[in-house]
Amino acid sequence: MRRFEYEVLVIGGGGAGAIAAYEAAKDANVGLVSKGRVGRSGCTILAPGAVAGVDEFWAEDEDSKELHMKDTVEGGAFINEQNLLNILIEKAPDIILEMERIGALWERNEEGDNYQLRTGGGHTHPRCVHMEDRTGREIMMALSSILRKMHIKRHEGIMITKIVKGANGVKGAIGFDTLTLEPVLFEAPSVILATGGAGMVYSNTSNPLDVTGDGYKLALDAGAALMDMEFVQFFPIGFLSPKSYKGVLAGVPYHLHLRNSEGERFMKNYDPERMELSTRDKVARAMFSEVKEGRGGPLGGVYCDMRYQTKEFLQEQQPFLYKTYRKLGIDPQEEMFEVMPTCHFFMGGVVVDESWETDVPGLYAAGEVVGGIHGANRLSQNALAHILVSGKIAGKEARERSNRSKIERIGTEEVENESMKLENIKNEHGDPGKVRDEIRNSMWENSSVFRTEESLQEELKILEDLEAESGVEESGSSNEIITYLENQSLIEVSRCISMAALEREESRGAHYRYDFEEKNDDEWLKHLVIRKEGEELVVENKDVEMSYIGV
Amino acid sequence: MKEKARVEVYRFDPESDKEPRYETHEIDMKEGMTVIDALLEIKKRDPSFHFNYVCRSGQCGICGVNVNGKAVLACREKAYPDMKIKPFSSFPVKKDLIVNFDDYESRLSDLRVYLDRASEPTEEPEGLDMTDIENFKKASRCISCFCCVESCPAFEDKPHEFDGPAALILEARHYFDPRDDLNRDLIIKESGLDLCIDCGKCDDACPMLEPYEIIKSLKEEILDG
Repeated sequence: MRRFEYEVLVIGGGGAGAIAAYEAAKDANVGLVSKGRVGRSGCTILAPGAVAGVDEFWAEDEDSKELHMKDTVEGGAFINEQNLLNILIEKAPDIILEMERIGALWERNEEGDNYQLRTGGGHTHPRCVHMEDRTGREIMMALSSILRKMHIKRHEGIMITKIVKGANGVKGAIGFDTLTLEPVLFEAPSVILATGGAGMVYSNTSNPLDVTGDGYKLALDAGAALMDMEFVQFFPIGFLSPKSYKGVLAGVPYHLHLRNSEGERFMKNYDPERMELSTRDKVARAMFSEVKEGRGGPLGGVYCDMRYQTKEFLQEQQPFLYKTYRKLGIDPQEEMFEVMPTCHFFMGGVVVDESWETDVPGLYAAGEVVGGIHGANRLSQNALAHILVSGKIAGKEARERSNRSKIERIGTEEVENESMKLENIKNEHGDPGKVRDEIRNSMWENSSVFRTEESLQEELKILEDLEAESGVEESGSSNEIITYLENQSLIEVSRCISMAALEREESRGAHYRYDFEEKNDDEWLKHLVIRKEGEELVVENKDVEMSYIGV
Repeated sequence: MKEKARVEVYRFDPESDKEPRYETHEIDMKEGMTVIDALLEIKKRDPSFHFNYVCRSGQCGICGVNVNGKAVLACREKAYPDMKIKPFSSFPVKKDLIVNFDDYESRLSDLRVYLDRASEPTEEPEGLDMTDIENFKKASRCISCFCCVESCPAFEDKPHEFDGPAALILEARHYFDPRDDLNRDLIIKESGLDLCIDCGKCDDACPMLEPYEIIKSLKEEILDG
């Protein structure tokens, strides 16, 4: 067993983890542990977008922080936690500047004396800084270089399976090497969860493979609560083939037409004015309906048609995507290809206070794993802003807490118990690869874009059966054990999504119930909060914090 | 009948195997199949087979492998009917196709590859001299997949004296950063800039940019200037 002690332990190798580690390390000994490799994990590096933030130096005269708040709350269908959102909007400009101080660079205007700004769906003004179509990567490059400069200790290839608590709150965490399965113990009075969302609960997702919702399960097991788990954002245009590309973003709605198997541009029957540029959730539902009514293609999708565009236009507007089409043997001038919506982002997540601390003292959360900021649907460009602001706040608060706390010893029996659990897995026979596919396929069928009481009840039953089936093949290779452990996270997250979606008998933001198609502010202007009592998940209501804007 | 692919894959677990071996699998070829899809088919048959892939979108830079002698990102490369797939030979093998980048990446720590400036800007956002901004942007498109390192004959020849194209590209990001005040000429020379043999093989291997074009600019500015 390896044992390490830190003042602050950060879990997660994406953008939120990296900035939290950087901020905490300004005055604390920090360890950064990641299931994958830091800077090569999670969703940040895939983000082509921009960082939203209003500052008088670069914003338009008519723009303001109040408008940024209003846009975000309207996009979030009024269930954003406004006190947290206000902090995000207030601090976003500072972090945009601080990122440049540590090495990121945002695009300038031609003269080079101010930022070039982008807008995005739902923003009423251009207020978002960016770098080419690789803003997330620019953030990660800067953070990786500063982590290197500060000699922050990394532990890569370790999956954390338990947060350890004592009388005063968090004491540390236990994990396993993903190749050797050797246990690793971390002792730390402050722990920051920065594990991202859980795109892998769905068969179609734009998220990387390692985004399996581990942080949600760690938080629940530690006694923290989750909120808004029913709100999952689906981007309409994802590849269906080849298998390894399923769910990867396949096009930009501005540059394509969608057709059904009869060749009809079907959006005219759903939103004739905006057609493919209708809201993401509306386009996604139309695609589902076409397929369900038998007008889909052989792969179960609808057709993406770009034949009316010139090659030059596509090459110029979406160079990376164009290259991808060609790599996959698709000629977008000549042929259509099948697409379907894809799980893109989790609005829900861990409940935090204004220090981004959870209900468990010393356990903080940053980035997509946090819930409540984005409400029922997220505006584009607010995710990177939240990653940066929340990582910075959690890093600072965690550092300050550890400066007033002592590192407490964790008994070896805690590690032995955890190791024993791993050993026991080998005695329960099953096929984790098959269970993974079944979780993802059934969640897609029953608990994604298409949701009814019946489909959600059905899904909860399937998840129960899948949990009972869980195990590994006799060989018990590390691949299988890790897949098994991730499946446990996926099953727990799937339950939370389906339970909350069943409870919320209305349609709001990204959550749509075919049996309750209207928004119902009288009864449902509230959050659903999930906690674990023993082994049971319990759902409660919580009022929305609305101190800035009313409905 | 469906077209079949014959795929030879490298297997080695340093913990239990004395030496590496190749396993041959016959799999069905499917429309649009990538190298990753082929590897997934093999893993389905044998769950103990290890290879890395995370983002599926050519951004995480972790799925680099050597296919029939060529360094490629497995997620961005079409599968073909006869493939011999092995791990990068320029890095130590961890398990099967997974290699260890640690030693190479730790070399980067000595190269001061971070923004290094004499003083904080007086006004923010600061105005920039845009002359070198294109080179800064191009170099910043690197995803550190190290396909260039794997394909570089100069690195193969002198792995201890030459830091390889990936290191030079990372250094170039900071060299061309208009805010950076460090004189990087010496560090970049010590990375082995003059050991590059101008073969351009990194341009063929790189999935994101043309590394040699950047290296040539560095040479012009540092060695010739």
